[in-house]
Amino acid sequence: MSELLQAITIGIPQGALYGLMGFGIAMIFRSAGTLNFSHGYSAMVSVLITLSAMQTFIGLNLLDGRSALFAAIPVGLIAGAVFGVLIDLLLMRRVKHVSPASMLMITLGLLLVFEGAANLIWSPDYESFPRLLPGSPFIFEGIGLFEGIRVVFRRNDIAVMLIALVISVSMAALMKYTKIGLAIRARGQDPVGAQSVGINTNRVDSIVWGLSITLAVVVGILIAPITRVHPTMLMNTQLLGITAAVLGGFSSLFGAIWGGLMIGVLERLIDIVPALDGYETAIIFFLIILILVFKPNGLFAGKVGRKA
Amino acid sequence: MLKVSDLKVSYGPIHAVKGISFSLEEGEIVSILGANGAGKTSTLFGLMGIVKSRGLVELKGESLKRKNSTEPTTKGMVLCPENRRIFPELNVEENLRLGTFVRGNFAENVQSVYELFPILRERSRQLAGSLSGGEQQMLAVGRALVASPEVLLLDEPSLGLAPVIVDEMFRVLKGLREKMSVLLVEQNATKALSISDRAYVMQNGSIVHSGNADAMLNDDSLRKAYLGM
Amino acid sequence: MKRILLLGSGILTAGVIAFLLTGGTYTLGNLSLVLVWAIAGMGMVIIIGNTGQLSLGHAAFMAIGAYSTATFTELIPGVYGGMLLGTLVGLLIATVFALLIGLPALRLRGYYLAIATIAFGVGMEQAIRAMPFPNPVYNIPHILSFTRSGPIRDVATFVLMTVLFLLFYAIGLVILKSPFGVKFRMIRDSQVAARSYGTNLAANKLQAFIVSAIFCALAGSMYAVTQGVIQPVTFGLMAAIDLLLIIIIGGAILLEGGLIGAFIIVGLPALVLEELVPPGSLTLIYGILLIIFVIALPSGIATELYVIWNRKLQAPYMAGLRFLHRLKPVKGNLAETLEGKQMHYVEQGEGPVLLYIHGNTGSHQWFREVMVVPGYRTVAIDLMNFGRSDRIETTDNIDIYADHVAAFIDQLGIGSCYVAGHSFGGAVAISLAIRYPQKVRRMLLIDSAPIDGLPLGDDSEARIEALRRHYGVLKSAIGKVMGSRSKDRRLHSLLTKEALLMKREAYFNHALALSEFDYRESAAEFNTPTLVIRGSLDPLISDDQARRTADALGAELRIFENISHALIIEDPEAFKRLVVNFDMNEGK
Repeated sequence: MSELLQAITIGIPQGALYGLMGFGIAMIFRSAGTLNFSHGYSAMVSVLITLSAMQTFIGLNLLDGRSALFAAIPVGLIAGAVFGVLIDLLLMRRVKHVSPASMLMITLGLLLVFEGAANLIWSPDYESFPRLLPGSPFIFEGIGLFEGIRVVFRRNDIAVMLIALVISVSMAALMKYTKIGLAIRARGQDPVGAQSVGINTNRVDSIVWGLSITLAVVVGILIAPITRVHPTMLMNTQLLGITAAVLGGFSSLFGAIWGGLMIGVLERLIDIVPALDGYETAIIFFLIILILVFKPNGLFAGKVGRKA
Repeated sequence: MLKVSDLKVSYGPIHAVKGISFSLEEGEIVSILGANGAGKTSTLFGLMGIVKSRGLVELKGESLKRKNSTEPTTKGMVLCPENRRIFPELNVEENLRLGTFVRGNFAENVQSVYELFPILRERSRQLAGSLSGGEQQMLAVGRALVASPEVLLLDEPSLGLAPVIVDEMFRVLKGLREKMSVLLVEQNATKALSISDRAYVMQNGSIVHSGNADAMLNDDSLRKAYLGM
Repeated sequence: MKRILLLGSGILTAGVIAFLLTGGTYTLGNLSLVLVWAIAGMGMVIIIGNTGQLSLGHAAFMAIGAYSTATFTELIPGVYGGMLLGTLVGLLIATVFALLIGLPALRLRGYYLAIATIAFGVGMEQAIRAMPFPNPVYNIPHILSFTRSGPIRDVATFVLMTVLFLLFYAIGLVILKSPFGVKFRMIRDSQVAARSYGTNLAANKLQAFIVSAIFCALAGSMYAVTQGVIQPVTFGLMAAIDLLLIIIIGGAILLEGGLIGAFIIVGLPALVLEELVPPGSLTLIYGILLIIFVIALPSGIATELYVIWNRKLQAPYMAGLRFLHRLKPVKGNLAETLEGKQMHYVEQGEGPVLLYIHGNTGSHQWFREVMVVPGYRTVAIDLMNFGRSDRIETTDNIDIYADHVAAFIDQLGIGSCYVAGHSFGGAVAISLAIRYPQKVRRMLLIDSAPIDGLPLGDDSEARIEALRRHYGVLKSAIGKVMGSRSKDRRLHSLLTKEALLMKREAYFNHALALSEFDYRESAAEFNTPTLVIRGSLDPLISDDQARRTADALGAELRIFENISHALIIEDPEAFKRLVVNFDMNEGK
């Protein structure tokens, strides 16, 4: 029982990160029309930039440890936004009308570019990254009926969950109530319709790219204390983010977040079964194939079909 | 109001519109007629900057750059595209709100749209994708009108609609003349000519005939040659 | 076959050059690795380039091959039993997985297939990581473990991999040229068309998927037994991207793309770049390369080379061949015809003159096997604008050609002769015989252009232009009219090179002249004894056309069974018998 609860409490914050990753991937997929295989890698470089900024702040004696971290985070976020916009402006705009496969391959190329750049400019070594909320974990001991149940909450996980929640809610509000949010959704649902009401779809695409990668940088910064910082730090997170987006069916952006949570918990649950230890990622990836085939619109597909 | 000179639209090696010129005066309804593939939709897309085009397009005497659709829309030329092109996963009201993305006062204009198409008021919270074909077409027209255009470009508003709804649609369109100029692209030539002042006939990307709508309606040979009536 | 030999000698030459340049056999080891990846690359060419299914999971099939081979060599001691069994089992497992994954996943399109296959690829990597293999797996016996490691083994491995690569290249070539390959491309180009053609899409996609999986699994096995060490990451996401890079940069349509791509992606780093650039930057370079290729050169190097070869290099190539061929000495004579122009001819024997007139793109060489006809003096000419005769201005008038032949007959002082005209030469002979009846005693028309003209087809201009511009097209066209003799490579090659000697401006005009040719009216008074013959398999001249020619000339028509357009080379003896025994002597 403890194991189960513990799996859930660790799985949820982890899954929230996959979900946020998937949210951005799904947003790019829906609006800009490509599956971005460089998503986590551009974020990884941004995390490296964050780390370098932090070290610079400390090195120049401008700030001490924690304030340096919080001062460096905006630098990383801006870097992510800039990467996103540049990818769209310099590359995607050229091949948007050629073929979807070209866009996909360019993102694969970018994956290599980011990884290569990280190896070259920084190093292939693992570097540690500070937690947002350090300190000892909270431990809950069950009493009475729940005697013997013991669940550990890591402090950083709480920060992760709070941030994920805040981002999800603000993203939902952005999509629902702001002009740009409506424009993003409109562009994804019908590009010609969007242009007919005067939406500059190219600009929307740039915004989507910028926003999505900024989100991925948030994920990167939150996950960095666990994975540590290195060129492939977000490889699995990205793949699981894609998986989350698949579970969510790409059609609803928030489906990706639910999908991410499910994966996060599932990963921990598989871990409990000794025979399956080590196979969790493999199992999840094989599940994806089944879901793609049997529920291509995701687990939460609504009733409204997409009409022409 | 709208003056177009030597408009050309190409998709790679294919020349969809081969340098056409036409005009639209204030308060006029002008039709562009022609068979499928004559270049009508490409003409409208070219005017709106949705596809790249060459040639001069003047709106109220001012030349349009047409780099994207934002500029023509802001300046008062609004497209109601073929196949409705509504946003199926947004509700009716959100669709109409997007109509005012770059111009028009939503709160004010949406009331007049609801008066024109009362059914949209009833369905305002419903997802657009769940509307019937006729309702979707009304939504598409409404979405264009809510921007209070000075020049309305209408692409095949009667496509795929039941005859009763087509009549209703044309009754509404006829009434628009007081508020705006309308460029109407239609395959249903008889209907289009019946509410138009003038018309142009396109074939293979060129204008092959132009004239007064009534005269064209009575010109048997023209109707046989180009309009298949 | 020729492509295989060419490629094989190319690879071996590269090996020798590499050896000479570096002075060591270490480089050959790298080239062997290139060949291994090239085999996998060809698998990708089949599934992505030719079937249009964007799979990013094929590295997993390499992993299956590699781990299966490694496992069985460990289990079964001895040199080859385990290795062979492991490789076979690897192919089998790959096939099973290709079925398991392909059956559902190939229902997906585009991105979704890409996601499913990448999920398979990464899932397989993770699964192998979790399995109780040592990581990495060391000490896999070398495929040539009976030799001691060292230069000899490097060379032998290289040769062996070359053979294996060529074998799979041949298999791939056969598959892609077979009806299966046609269906694969149909799936790629249009799913709708493929369906309406009655192709069972699902089955064909699956076939392509399995074939490519087998290529990759074999490459994996060979990787294991040549490198000796494998680890899961060898076949992870990066390997999947490498496979894609190989065909994007090499070219995804032609199998050669796999080799070119593998050389650039796997070979160059090991051979050159590693020393030139700082570590880690290779990934960056390849990323940039990939992006540049997708944007600027989307069809890849092999395809671009192919295009350049066909569009740009054919003209110089043909000019070069023409120049070389003209240098070859020929035992012929020259005779002046009209306006000081010289006509080239060869002759043989004594007796009444039998004058041979060749066809379009032909020369006197077409008659080389019928020069010895007992009792006759055979004279084979090169028409003006052909072969080694002078060039004249007019190319679109058969009568002018005939005038030159008439002048030639006068020049030689023959008076009157037997004339045999083949194809285009038949039209020249008809013109000659009708307008200079005193010079032609008897006439023999061999699959002659019809007397009422040979109509141009719809796209003849383009087709003729292709003949003129492309050596391969010209050669295959000549092969077609050579009938069964096209198997004789030397003759085929000789006649094609002779064709190069024809005036280049004349290609289309000769066809035009034949289409406008009509001597039916002029033939009304014609009374020269004539025989018209046609091969029953002639693809150019129909039975009807030959019959009309014979009727108009009041001639007999004789059909030769199992003969195509050219009796004179297909069955020279039969032709000679015809000349000697039949109508030529008897008259009609």
